[in-house]
Amino acid sequence: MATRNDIQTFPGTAEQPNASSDLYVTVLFGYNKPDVDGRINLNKKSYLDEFEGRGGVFRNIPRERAEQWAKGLDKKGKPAISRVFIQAILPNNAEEADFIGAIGKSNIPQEKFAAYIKASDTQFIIDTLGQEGAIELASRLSKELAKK
Amino acid sequence: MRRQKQIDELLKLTPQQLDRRLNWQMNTQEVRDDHDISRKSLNEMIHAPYIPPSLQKGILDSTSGTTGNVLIRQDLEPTLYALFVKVFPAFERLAKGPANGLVHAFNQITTPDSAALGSTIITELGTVNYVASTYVRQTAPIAVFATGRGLSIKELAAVQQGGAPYDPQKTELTNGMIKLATDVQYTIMQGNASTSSGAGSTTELGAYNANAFDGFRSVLGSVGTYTTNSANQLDIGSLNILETLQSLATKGANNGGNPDLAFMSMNSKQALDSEQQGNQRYNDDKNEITPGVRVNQVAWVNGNLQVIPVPGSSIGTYTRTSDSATVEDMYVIDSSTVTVRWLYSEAFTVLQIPSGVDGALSNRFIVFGMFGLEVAAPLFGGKARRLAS
Repeated sequence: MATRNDIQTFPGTAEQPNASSDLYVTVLFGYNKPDVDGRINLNKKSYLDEFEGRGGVFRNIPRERAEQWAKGLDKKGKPAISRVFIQAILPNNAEEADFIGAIGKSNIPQEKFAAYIKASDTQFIIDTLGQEGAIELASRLSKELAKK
Repeated sequence: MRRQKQIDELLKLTPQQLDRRLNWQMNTQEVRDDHDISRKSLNEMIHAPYIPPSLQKGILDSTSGTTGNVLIRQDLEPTLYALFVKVFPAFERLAKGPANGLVHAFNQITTPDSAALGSTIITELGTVNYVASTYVRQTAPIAVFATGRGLSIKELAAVQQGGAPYDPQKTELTNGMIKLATDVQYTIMQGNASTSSGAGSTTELGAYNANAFDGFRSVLGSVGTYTTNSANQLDIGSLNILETLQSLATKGANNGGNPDLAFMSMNSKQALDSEQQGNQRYNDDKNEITPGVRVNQVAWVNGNLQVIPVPGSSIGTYTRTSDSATVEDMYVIDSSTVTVRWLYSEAFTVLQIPSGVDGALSNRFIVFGMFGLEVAAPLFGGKARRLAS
């Protein structure tokens, strides 16, 4: 912020959509939940209050509003007339992997996921996760297996 | 017109006055058609183009009073209809139109026009582009709603001779109309005739009944066969009910509609009234939706929504898949795109079964109507899910 002759200017501080920010967050509500017909529709449009989401992912939500949803409060901070039980509040730039990490399960059915891992080349996994990511995965797997 | 005038006049009466009138009608007019009262009505009916010849014969036969065919009690119908509408004003508020078959086929708009903004602007001698809206061909089953009501001649005589000041026949018919009103509104709100898999009263699809028709819960919920119909679904988090209705109406308008009607349960209406208690002066704007029936209306950015509370469990509750919470719906619709489709008659028909025709000494009536629901543009409206109270 710059001030000159009592005029305040804010160069380059406009909020960027999908940018990591403390003011705006991504909210998961109904993410990875099957419809009544048993299908998970990742493109289904719905609204949480006035905010549009796709497949249960609501982006660019003011943090204050997300916290009101989590606590069941209205916009004035009093108990709301209805409520939603949201799954997670994430940084605005969170991605699919973060969603899965937050709710603890993948979109991919377990048997398909197992088949996919089995069929994957180890070099492909290292390339996908990166050197550090692959080492971290290997160490987590070793720890889990040691417990058994 | 004559029937409509009669209904309009009757709707100005209170339910108690209607009760008294029905009592008078049933006690002062002969059960049989001796006074020629229904002849004119029947004459109108048998010349109606939608009555097949075989049925015309049946109606004609019944006027003689000797062949044992049933008698259509057109004289009772307007009074009973008025009673029905008092219980379910939304039925009168929704437009009616004849169905085009055993099931009513219609086009449902899913996108009014997918072309870019300004795409209709052409040069002076340019070629006009032809564009069509996107439709889905839907069929609305026509459900038959019927109830048989009656009582034994012994009971009729006993009540009359015992001097009790009531007419059990009238009570039965009135209660029959209330039951029909309940079932019709239940089906309009949460009927499901198209998807059996995963269906149930506690699901968004609603309980499956192949003989019913699809109601607002599934059509506006974009579930089952309606997953691609672009209707709006909104879950209420921090908004109040007024803001929710306004928000939903705005989204319908952004899709090209002009929402003007909201249906909600009595509980939701109570919650709306409570939250707006402090704004009484702004919220006491009433609108007469049918003679004698006045409802609140609330303003949204480009018009007004008439708020019609629906009594009982007609709207019902179900489990929201997003968070397994039990919720109830509120519907916001553009009423110019919703039509109650009928076969035979746009209202209920009252048949009187001749006493003793099957050997039983009883006086019986059958009240029936055949209706379906056409929601031609679900994207012009939508639903809001509220935690059930």
